Amino acid sequence: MNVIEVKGVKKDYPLGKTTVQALKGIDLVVETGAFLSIVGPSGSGKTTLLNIIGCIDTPTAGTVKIQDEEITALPEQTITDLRLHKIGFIFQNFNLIPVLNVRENVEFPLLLMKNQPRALIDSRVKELVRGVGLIDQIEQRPAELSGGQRQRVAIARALVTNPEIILADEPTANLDSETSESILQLMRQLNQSEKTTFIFSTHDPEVLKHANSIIQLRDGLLVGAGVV
Amino acid sequence: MGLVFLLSYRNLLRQKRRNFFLGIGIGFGMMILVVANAFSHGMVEVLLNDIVANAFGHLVIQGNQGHSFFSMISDKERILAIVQDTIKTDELLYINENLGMFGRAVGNGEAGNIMVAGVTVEDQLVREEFFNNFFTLVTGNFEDYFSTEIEYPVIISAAKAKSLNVQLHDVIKMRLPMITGRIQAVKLTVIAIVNANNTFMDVVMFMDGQRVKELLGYHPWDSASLQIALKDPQRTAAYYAELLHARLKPNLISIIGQVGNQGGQLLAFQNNAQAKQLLKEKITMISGETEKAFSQSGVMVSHQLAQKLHLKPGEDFYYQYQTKYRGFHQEKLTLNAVYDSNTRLGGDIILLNEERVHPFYHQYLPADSNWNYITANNPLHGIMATEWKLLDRSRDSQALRKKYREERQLQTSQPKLDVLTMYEGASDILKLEGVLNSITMIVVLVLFFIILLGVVNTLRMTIKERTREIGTIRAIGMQRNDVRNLFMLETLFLTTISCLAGILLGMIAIKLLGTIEFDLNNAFSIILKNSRLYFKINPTALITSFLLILGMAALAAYFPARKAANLLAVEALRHYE
Repeated sequence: MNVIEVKGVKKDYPLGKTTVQALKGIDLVVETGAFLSIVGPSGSGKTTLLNIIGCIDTPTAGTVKIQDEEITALPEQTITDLRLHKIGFIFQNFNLIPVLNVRENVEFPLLLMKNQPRALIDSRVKELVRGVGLIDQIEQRPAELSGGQRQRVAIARALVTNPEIILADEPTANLDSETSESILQLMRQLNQSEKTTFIFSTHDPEVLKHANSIIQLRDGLLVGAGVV
Repeated sequence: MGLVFLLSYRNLLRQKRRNFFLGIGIGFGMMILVVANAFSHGMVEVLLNDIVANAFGHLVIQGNQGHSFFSMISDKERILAIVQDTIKTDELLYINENLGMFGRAVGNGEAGNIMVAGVTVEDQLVREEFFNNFFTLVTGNFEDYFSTEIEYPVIISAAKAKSLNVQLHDVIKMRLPMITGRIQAVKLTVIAIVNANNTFMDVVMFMDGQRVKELLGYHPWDSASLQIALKDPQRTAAYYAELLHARLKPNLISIIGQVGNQGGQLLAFQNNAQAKQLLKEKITMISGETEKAFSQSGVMVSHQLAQKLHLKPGEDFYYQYQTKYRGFHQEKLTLNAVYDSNTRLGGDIILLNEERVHPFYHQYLPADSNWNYITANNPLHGIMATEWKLLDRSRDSQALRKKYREERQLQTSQPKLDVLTMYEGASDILKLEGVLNSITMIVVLVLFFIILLGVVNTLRMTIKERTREIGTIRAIGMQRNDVRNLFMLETLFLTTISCLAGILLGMIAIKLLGTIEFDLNNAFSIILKNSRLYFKINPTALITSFLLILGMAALAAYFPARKAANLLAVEALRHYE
């Protein structure tokens, strides 16, 4: 079953008096449970494609469907709600909220959903924090954690709402190779256990060995796709 | 909302130094507001409650006879009965006659103008209030205040004693005008020297009310204006003023008396042109001079009575009646005209112009009257003269002054009666509080405008610093409204905490300022209480100021917060410092 369908997506950015074509017409279908890697050099359009799939950016042309629902024309409030319920984000710079501790950062999306029973929030958060190996650091703030630990917190936060899709933009770019390896293993493990679709961008060849499918972008065009 | 609260609170603590300085600014402004409000409220309370209320009472019934400077109510008993019947006992503190003598006094080689206030302290409550709360005894004995062996005992302030160069038991000579217009010379004996609790009391000497009344020439049944002290004047003064005003409506002048052995009722018509014209239309003259009969000294008799008395125009006759307090009174009248009438005035009636009646009527109040002889629905009712003129209630001091000015211009000997509360009598003082508060508010608003520019600037900096964070929370799924509320709450938290701290500091400042003793002898000292500044917090003003500042802070925070909420997640995530 397809979780994402991208058709003819283009994205233009104004840059001074000129326009930069970040995406020049992308067609892509992602199946549920995929562990898809988007590869390509810097400026190839990886982040732009992830942002459009993640509903935080809109395409200049083309359509995006998530679970058969066309999302490009939805009102802002509905799109925000869709992000909350169906999509999890993992950022290159972790983007944790510095004034909240590990537990609070992880439960943040659940609190945004409102009316979630406290007991359910607590058990889900503990389960995930334990899953990412940070149960002993649960009351610590991001500043007290290493880069790898922060990214684990970000992964737990992305997973806490049981989203359909997790989008990770260069998740290991700021980590050393050993930590990167463990993070990718964790993502793969969660992909298999939680049946969540992972799409991540990277230009690290080491990362690619974990993917079960790969697409390659160059100059805003899809130049290759394959299954590992 | 809990999440937004938590985030706002944590973010507030995140930039401690910046928020601390901003908080100091807001707190300082609030402190000034608290102190200034408490000062103006306290000052008004001193002026209103300690000076105006003591000098004039919470509620005053004031009477004036013709153009006399003195207040005069000619039937104290009757008015007192109405007051006591109107005001509930448990809401009334006391009723006092407001007696004051103004004149030139000579001490030991020093002279000056003084006021002697007559205070009757028969009532235990008044006695305690008077001796315990008004002054602190420096030397002498308050018991001598009631002594009949001492010639006119007076209590004098230390400041006034010094200015007249008198000591305890010294004599002060005073010349004072009486209500009759005569000048009287008296010797007053100093029986106590005191320190008054406010400057106003410093310039007044105090003497037993009954003695002052005698010296001024009042009869025992007369009264100066009546000061009524209430337990809760703020709540009840206006209410009782209205009630008393309604119950003090005058009756038509009526005297039941006789000429020789023939009974006759004396009535009076109003002296204004309209009333006289209407009266002319109602009665028919049989003999005499119409012009004279309607003049200020006009006397008319009904044809029926004239026949019984064999009276003709131009002849004198004596009208005699039993008075309420002074036995029989005989008034010599000269008949100007005889009228025939088929109206209510056709009986044994003597009809006088009110200007002829008032001078003796109030001196010799009749024991018998028939106030309902001409009922309210009789067309003659509007023509006939009343015992006194009940003045309309006044809205404030300005209206009161205007009313008295207009009344003074009327050439009439008809007494006037007025009911007023200290709130309209001293509304200028109440306005003063409003003016002072407005000035304070304007100054503080300017101050807060500057502070709130700081709030806006700080918030803009904060938003710029946290742009990526905004991008993150928007990407995760926080709605725009929540982002806006997050930043607004931060500002409101800071403002609330700072204002509360400001209120606390203001209260401490009030306590400290209230301990400073001033040794002043100028106009400023009138607002002091026991030589100290008096502050009183007005909770309503405090809450209003607090809400106003919160409102201003919310308004100042709204636009930057909205800007933060409208940031596009994708652009915010791309932001780098």
